[in-house]
Amino acid sequence: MKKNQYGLRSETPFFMSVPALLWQFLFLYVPLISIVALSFLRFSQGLVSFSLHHYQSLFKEMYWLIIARSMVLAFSTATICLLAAYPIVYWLIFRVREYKNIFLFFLIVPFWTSLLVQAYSWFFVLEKNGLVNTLLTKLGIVAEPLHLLDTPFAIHLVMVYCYLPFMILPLYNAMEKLDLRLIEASMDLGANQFQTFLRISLPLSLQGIKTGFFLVFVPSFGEFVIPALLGGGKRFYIGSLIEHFFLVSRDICAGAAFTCLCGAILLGLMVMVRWLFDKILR
Amino acid sequence: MRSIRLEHIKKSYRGEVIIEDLSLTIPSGKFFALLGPSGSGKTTLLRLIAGFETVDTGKILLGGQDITYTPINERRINTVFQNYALFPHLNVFENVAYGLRVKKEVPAIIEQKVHKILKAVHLEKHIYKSINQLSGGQQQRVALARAIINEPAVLLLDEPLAALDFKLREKLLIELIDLQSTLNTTFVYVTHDQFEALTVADHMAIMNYDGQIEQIGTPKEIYEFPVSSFVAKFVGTTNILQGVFDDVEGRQTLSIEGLGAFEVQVPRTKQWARPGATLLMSLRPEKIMMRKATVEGFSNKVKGVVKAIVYHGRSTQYNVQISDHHTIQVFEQNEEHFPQEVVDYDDEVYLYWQKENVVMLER
Amino acid sequence: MKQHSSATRYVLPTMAVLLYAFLYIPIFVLITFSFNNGANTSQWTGFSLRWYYELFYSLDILNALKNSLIVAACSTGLSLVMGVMFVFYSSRSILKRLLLAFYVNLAVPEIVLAVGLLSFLTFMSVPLGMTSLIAGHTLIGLGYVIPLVHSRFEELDNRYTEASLDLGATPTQTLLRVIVPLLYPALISGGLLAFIVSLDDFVISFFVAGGSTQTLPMYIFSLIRSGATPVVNAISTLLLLTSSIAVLLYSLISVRTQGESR
Repeated sequence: MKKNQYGLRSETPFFMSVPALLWQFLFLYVPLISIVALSFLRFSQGLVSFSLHHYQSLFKEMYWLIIARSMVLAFSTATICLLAAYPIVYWLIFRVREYKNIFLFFLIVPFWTSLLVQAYSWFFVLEKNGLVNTLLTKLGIVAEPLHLLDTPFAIHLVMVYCYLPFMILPLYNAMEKLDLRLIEASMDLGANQFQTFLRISLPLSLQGIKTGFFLVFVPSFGEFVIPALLGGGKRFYIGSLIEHFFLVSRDICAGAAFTCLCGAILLGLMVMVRWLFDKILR
Repeated sequence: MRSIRLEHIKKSYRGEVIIEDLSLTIPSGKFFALLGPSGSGKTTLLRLIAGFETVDTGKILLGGQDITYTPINERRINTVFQNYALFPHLNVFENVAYGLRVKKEVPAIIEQKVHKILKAVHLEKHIYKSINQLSGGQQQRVALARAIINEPAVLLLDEPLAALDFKLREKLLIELIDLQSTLNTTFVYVTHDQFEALTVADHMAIMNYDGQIEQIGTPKEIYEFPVSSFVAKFVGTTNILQGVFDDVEGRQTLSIEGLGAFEVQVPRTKQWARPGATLLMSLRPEKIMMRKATVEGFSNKVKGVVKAIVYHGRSTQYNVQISDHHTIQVFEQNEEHFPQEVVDYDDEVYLYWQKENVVMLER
Repeated sequence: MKQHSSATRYVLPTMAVLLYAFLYIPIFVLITFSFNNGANTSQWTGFSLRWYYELFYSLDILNALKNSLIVAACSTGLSLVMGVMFVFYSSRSILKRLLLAFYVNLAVPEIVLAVGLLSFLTFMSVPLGMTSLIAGHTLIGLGYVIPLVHSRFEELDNRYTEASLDLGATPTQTLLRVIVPLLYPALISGGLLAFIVSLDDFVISFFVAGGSTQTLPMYIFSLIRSGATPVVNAISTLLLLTSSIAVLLYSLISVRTQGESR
């Protein structure tokens, strides 16, 4: 039996690597395929048939509204995260320098906390008698406590809060690799801080920006927990609707169709955003 | 029993052919050196013998037994790696004992063998140290011990002394020679350093840039009687002069443009030496005598001007220009503190050599 | 770089302070109110540990915690073992290209994985519960463990594998005697990561746990939805503490390995 160079019969590596692959196949790829398959099936009166019925039933205004709302959420979350994270990472890497690891550590700790805990902690800040309202009323800025919880504002705010570390880490990795000497060279050649930033730092960190943007955008698009907790159950996003299909109305095939549709839209959006980034990169 | 035979080995890597149709026999129980420049494929050849790579075509036989497709861990061959590859998480004892442990050898015997072998490589005092506490030379000895303890038929050494300084290298080379003659294991030593190869080898082979073997022989054969200018230049230093050969009634000459005819001697076996052929002459610098005065009794004599002097301690190298196109290197041994004749830049000198000390080459 | 324009000299640190405040104020409020005596979650009525006592005596919570720990331990163990086996045995063979197959786990939104798993399991009439939880969590664990172990494995000198085989060890002996000890830090940090992620996981658990099993995050979710008492604060504080310790350990290990690799 011809053995390969690692003293293994040709079957053995396959055999030992199989568990992981099998797991992957069985619990990820097959389920994904079954979702796609289910979306084309229709169960009626005990009969199963191939049909586009579910997709057709999705062409209702309310679904498009939900999808649009999620798109806005994903875009705004990613953008705000980027705008908030970039200066911080810049500050960490170029101003703090030596102790940046410690500061980074404290930025990341919330990341390791459960999403629920993160979202829940905002209840105390945003509710009628919460921190914000107490401050505002005590300082006399408003007469009545503001209704902050259960609003789109709360949802967007907490989204940014929870996804910020997903933007910070890739940016940090990208900017850490930036050679300080390039910046010094640029300034030596006469460019001021802003020009250096625009022409040198920004383009070189673009890869990190891209990664961070996608790491935030993709999960945000399908987010379900945060709208569920902070949205008061009235406003539906893609995630909440998927939950509704699968766990409330138990219409699996319709849910599958909706999931596939959203998946396709997500892919399309990703391609678009990627193209946009490449255009900026020129 | 402990000989290696390679038959028509071919090996490519990513589309590039590294070794093509190579056949070689490494005799049993000898210290064999494989010498070649970087990129010649010598390390690849070693890896093929060890089993880390598989041949595209060809056969590898150990003591007559076909091991071409035998897995690494079943070949009775052990390797000493260039960077030692000692296991960082194990101490010296455990590193050396590794081969015996995986074969489930009895602990008492392991203990005995490890102590014995570490004594043989002068490391008894370091038995329980961790690897990073050792110097380069000590690490190399551990690597050696780790390999030898398994009593392999063949020991492969991949430039094992490359990371060490010169003095240490010299010392370890001698130790390796002693070790090999005591063990009688076949040693295959790969290196690009011709000094190392010449020092240790009973037999050696030289590989060129195309992955082919240029010459096989004893160190002396290779040094004194190279078969090509590549070998002549790679092993030691030499002067290569090109000219037209002629053989008139037993008197053989090489006519070089601008210099005239030099007397040469070509053995009858070199049948390509025909009158009118353009051939090369290899003349080693130490075979030339340089004097300001005229001396009798040499077959060849040429006049030149000293253009460079490089002091090497044991000897001095002189670059002597003998024509507009030819500069000859000469080594003169520094036999005396205060030599009688002092040669300086731009001095006129005569170079003398005997026709027997020249090697004629086809290419 | 001595010249900092006054714009960036003051603006950047100010933004940093604001950001850290943004990140930590909710957490501090949360922790503070876990020690609140009163049930009203917005008025401070005195220091008290009553919610923590309630926590330890609540059967529901302990049950949920038990489930979470079991699932986390199992899924971490499974993903570590399968992950290491895959990384090692597929190296230097065609299977190596399948490594990419594992990057999908973290690229696809979790809710898609969750509903996919739910549909598939329902379709196969597999009862939902601890098994389905472990299946899903192990999947996520693999997505974290395999890239981590793989990159550390690639950094490892492949001469160690060759040396081990050269000395007569079988591939399995090589894995156990040489590779695993050398990969130790990556395994620990990978394991830590997988464990915490499993402990914190909500989305997959929510969908595939079925009606009768609850993990800790699921329990917290139901509590929040049904009207929270500061018990939730107490649980959250403890979870926070666990996570922080885990990050600390993880960071320490990473720093140590960075110092080791020449």
